[in-house]
Amino acid sequence: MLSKYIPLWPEQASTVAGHMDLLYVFLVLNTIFFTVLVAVMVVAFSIKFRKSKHPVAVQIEGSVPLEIFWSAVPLGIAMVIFVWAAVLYFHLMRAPRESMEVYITGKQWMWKMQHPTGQREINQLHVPVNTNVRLTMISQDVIHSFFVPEFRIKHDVLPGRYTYAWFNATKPGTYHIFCTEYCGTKHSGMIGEVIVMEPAAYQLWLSGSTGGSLAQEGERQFASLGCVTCHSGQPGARGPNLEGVFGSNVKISDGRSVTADENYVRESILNPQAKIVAGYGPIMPTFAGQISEETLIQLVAFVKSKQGTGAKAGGQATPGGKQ
Amino acid sequence: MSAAAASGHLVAGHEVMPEENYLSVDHSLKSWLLTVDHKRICILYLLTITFMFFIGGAFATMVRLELLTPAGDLMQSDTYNKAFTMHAVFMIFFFLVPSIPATLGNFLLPLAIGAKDVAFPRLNLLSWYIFVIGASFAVIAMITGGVDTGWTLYTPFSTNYSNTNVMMTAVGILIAGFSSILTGLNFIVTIHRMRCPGMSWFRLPLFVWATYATSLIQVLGTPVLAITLVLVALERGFHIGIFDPALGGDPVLFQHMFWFYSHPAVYIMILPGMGVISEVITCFSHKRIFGYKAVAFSSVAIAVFGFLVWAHHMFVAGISLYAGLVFSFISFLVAIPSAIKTFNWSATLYKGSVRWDTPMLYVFGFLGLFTIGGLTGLFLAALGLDIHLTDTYFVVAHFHYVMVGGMVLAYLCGIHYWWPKITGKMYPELPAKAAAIIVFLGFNLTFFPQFILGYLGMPRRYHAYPAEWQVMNVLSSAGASILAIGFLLPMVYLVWSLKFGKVAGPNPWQATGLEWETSSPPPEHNFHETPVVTTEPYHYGEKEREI
Amino acid sequence: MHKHHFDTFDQQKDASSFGMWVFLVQEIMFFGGLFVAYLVYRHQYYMAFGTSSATLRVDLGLFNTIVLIGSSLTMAIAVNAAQRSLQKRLIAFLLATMALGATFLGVKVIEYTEKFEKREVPGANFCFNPQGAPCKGVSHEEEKTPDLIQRYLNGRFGKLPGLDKAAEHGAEATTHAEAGEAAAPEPGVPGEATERQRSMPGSEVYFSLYFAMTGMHALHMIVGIGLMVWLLYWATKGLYSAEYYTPIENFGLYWHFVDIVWIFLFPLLYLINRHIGGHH
Ligand code: HEA
Ligand code: HEA
Ligand code: HEC
Ligand code: CUA
Ligand SMILES: [Cu+2]
Repeated sequence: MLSKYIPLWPEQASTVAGHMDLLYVFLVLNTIFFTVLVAVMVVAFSIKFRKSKHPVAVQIEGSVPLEIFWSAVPLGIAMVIFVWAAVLYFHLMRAPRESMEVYITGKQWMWKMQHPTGQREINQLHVPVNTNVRLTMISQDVIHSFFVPEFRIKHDVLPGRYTYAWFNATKPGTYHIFCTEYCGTKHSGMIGEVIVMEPAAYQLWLSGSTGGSLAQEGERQFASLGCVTCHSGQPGARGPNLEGVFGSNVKISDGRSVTADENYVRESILNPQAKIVAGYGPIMPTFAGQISEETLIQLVAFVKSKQGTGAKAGGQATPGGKQ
Repeated sequence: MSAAAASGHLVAGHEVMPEENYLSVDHSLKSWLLTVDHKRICILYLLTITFMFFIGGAFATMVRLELLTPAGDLMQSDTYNKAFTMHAVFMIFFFLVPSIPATLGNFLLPLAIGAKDVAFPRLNLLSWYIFVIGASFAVIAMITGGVDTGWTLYTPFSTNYSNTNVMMTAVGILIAGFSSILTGLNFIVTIHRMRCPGMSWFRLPLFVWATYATSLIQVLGTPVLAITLVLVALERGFHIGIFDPALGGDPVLFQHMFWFYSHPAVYIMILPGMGVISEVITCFSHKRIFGYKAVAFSSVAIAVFGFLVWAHHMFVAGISLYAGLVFSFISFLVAIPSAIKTFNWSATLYKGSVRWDTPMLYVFGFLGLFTIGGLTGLFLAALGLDIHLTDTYFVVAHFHYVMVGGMVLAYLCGIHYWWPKITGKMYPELPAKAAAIIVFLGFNLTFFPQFILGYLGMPRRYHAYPAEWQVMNVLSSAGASILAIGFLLPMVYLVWSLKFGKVAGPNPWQATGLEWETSSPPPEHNFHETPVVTTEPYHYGEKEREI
Repeated sequence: MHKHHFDTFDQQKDASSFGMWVFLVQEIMFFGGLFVAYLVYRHQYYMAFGTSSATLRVDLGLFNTIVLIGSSLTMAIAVNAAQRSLQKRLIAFLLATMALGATFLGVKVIEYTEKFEKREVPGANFCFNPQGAPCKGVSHEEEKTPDLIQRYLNGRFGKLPGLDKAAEHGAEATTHAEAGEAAAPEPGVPGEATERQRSMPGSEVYFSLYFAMTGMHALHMIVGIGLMVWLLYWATKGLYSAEYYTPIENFGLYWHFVDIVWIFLFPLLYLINRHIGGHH
């Protein structure tokens, strides 16, 4: 095909890449159609009715049916594009329930990956092929953006709030990671690679690591930061029992209830006063400025690991940012 | 004043220059710096923004030179980051936003509605001074080290991390913004209150409608940019915490406020161009516009709906999915008025009597390039597709197609079309045609490869890039050097024409419109007696019948 | 006596008042940006906004509201006087408006200084911690309004009564806070949290908005008073009369607009959730 000689799109290496390219091709055809239409009209009329051949112009006021026609047809086409693209957007912005989790922290100018199994990487991301991978991302300084063109995924990585992206890689191989939100001097150097592996090779890679899982690391922090003193889980403890909190609907003191997702847990640690759990006083101190983003991720993973069987997996189904 | 009288002048063939015109009344520098004549203020702006365009162009040259090779070898990454930032800051805020409104708008608006001047002439001069002060800030910021935030000034990078001249630049843009607001205000009042007898709303030339729509955006949008920049400056200078996530602020709020201005601002950067196209295409088809009301109302529709789509720049910035849905939907709606205009322009050519003078070549170029630019905007407005395309070179290509292929071409078109009116001299046709063709070809070679690069995934604002993308980048840089020649040529022959150009006469194009019924260059007070309008706009057919 | 480019005097008058209205629309958009930011954060930091708001002096705010409404009244009378060619009355009421405007700004100075003393000004020195450890160098005792004003009249701006010792500590705390800022520029990096970082989350946003909003409003007042000096000059020269009073009328519109902005600012900044402040 033509794309052998002049590449027209990046490799299709994820489940959505084909859908994305199809929509793209549709829009390209649409563009060609209208551009050629306009070009033909302009060139044909201005040659056919050039002054030497057509010295006296025929005055035409306009035509209401034509106006309606050429508003309605583009509108119709636009609506097709809108719906099609919206469906794709919802598909891409909401991770499937069954996903492997990876946590990513962006910082000027590198990507730090944390796997639930405890592995940490910089500017590299090892994942198994044919598996849903959900990325929970945060920045510790300015805004970055995580982009893998071969997977057709991208999402901004914000300071102060988790954002999400997901993919399912279909071909083993090595793919680009780019930072696509301008973030300072080495923005163009904030690159890396995703290494997609066959399941067996991936298992091998996993086993090469040492140390505990992310949640275990979080548990250690939970103890050393003194969280357990209040969240001991005993009846009569000063703070609520965190067992089964993640993913559940938490009643808060002003009567609203919120779903406990990653951002809720993070906020609970950094700004405990924002949403006070009903029945408790505003006594939890803020840990803002004292815990790094990576430790926060461990704490979140720990709280998440205590997601009991009773908890609804609601937090998982609606990533993509709530406001 | 009837059209016959004007063409009567022409019959005489070579026109004698009227004794006194706005240029010749007084030659002293003081008379220029203290002028309140809208026509002279046009010239002041013309000189200033041309200078700004070349500063912006010099930075574009740096960008394209660096991107010749995949490695970031020509300059430091910081230098590159400053280059594209200063490129955009000068091109957008100090060139394209004021380009047509402040030059052709200033010159033509009063003439086109039969007024002696704009409603507030002294305010008009003040606007120019404010603009110059703002531009000076930007130039000083440039000389003392530049700024590296991207023209979008995203927080918290701009407020807490960049150690370049963000403050100075922001203040420069803020000041230039007030100039823009005052110009818009002046024009709105002028159009409402200064029309000559008989000049009803539906007899206004379409350029005036377009200017009116532009002014609405300037008055309603720019203040929001102003307050946003004030907050950025306060945050940077005094460490207050409105957008700083470390203090609980929301950096995405900054983006909302920035785009609330800057999306409508892209229509500030196209509507006046659309107005020029409407005037020129009727003149060189010698035919009234197809669907006058549709074209007029679509300008206003673009201005109004343009305020409701800002978050289409933020589809992956962390807005809610449903907000994305709404903003995408309205983005598609706002494309419809542009479609209406495009088709009406094409239909205007039908059964016309088409001439191929230079301004018309620019019209052809505009129609093709704006259509491509606009249609590729649809790719970006399409939610799912934008995930892949946003912040890649596809976006860069899109906006250069609309801004350079659209607005800059329309600007050159208008400059050529009204050059005889402004200076009283004709430009030389041959080099002008050559320049138009060079611009068209160079432009496509520069920016078409960027669409492909964008879909391949090349991120924008990249100083170095993977080697597999070099071919396209070399093509693009080659195109840019051709484009540069195309932009430099008019500088030469237009200046040349001031001395050696043929005398133009009041109406060299046999155009309709009040500006063509006074002498070229117009007298100081535009008209010797207040005109009275008795005909529809673009009454092209009637002229022949009279003769 | 209309300018040359207008056909009639009426057209000129019409154009300038229309221009003034367009200008005010522009002003609405300008302040609109601030109000939107306020609403967003008010929603996000509901509690913090209530708590922070409780530190403002409602008595002074109310006083200023009355002063400003009074100045609108005097301005309206001034416009009326101009329309009826009542030269002396015009001058008198312009002066009265200026005096009231200056009073407003004076009270604002008192309020601002108090915020500086209490470290409730955004920036490196910021500290607001109603629940946790009290901010160094700050007295949390409420000062009675008459005492406060008396202190300002005595020219003692910098210090809280009977807290001279603590104030010295305050100076120290400031340098500490700055050093802390410089040492830990990267947010999210663990370490000893500064007083600023330990402050109630969201409170700094509130105070930032408080200063930005009232600051922009005060700036408009200052510009207004400057314009009045100009108007006053021409009024004494007898420029304005029943035939020509457009500048006075337009300025009146501006002044009323600035007044209206305050009418929104006062409840949003001073009066939200007074009860939240109660329980600390
Ligand atoms: C003159 C300036 C200008 C103009 C006129 C436009 C016009 C449009 N733009 Fe563009 N845009 C920019 C300047 C402009 N833009 C800039 C500067 C940026 C990047 C800023 C930055 O990040 O630095 C940008 C970015 C940008 C984005 C964000 C991309 C991203 O960052 O992810 C989007 C997304 O929706 C968008 C959409 C549109 C649309 C839908 C139009 C529409 O108005 C186009 C309408 C026109 C047509 C559609 C063509 C004519 C119609 C026909 C021939 C009929 C056929 C029509 C249909 C089938 C509907 N633009
Ligand atoms: C009005 C708007 C406008 C105009 C006219 C242009 C004109 C051009 N632009 Fe630009 N551009 C923007 C607005 C504009 N641009 C914006 C908003 C951005 C985004 C920035 C950001 O990301 O923040 C951008 C970004 C941008 C990039 C992407 C940079 C990046 O993301 O890393 C590129 C790359 O090719 C580019 C190229 C060009 C070129 C080749 C031209 C050419 O058309 C210019 C041709 C003109 C000349 C070349 C002038 C001729 C004069 C000389 C040659 C004199 C030279 C003198 C000396 C050297 C002393 N522009
Ligand atoms: C001084 C006691 C105290 C300490 C120490 C403490 N907490 Fe809490 N925490 C509370 C109280 C009380 C609440 C409930 C009220 C609220 O929401 O603020 C709470 C709420 C929470 C919640 C929300 C629970 C829910 O049911 O929705 C999370 C998550 C949490 N804390 C995590 C932590 C972590 C992690 C740490 C340590 C880094 C920690 N806490 C330290 C007292 C404490
Ligand atoms: Cu990180 Cu760009
Ligand atoms: Cu836009």
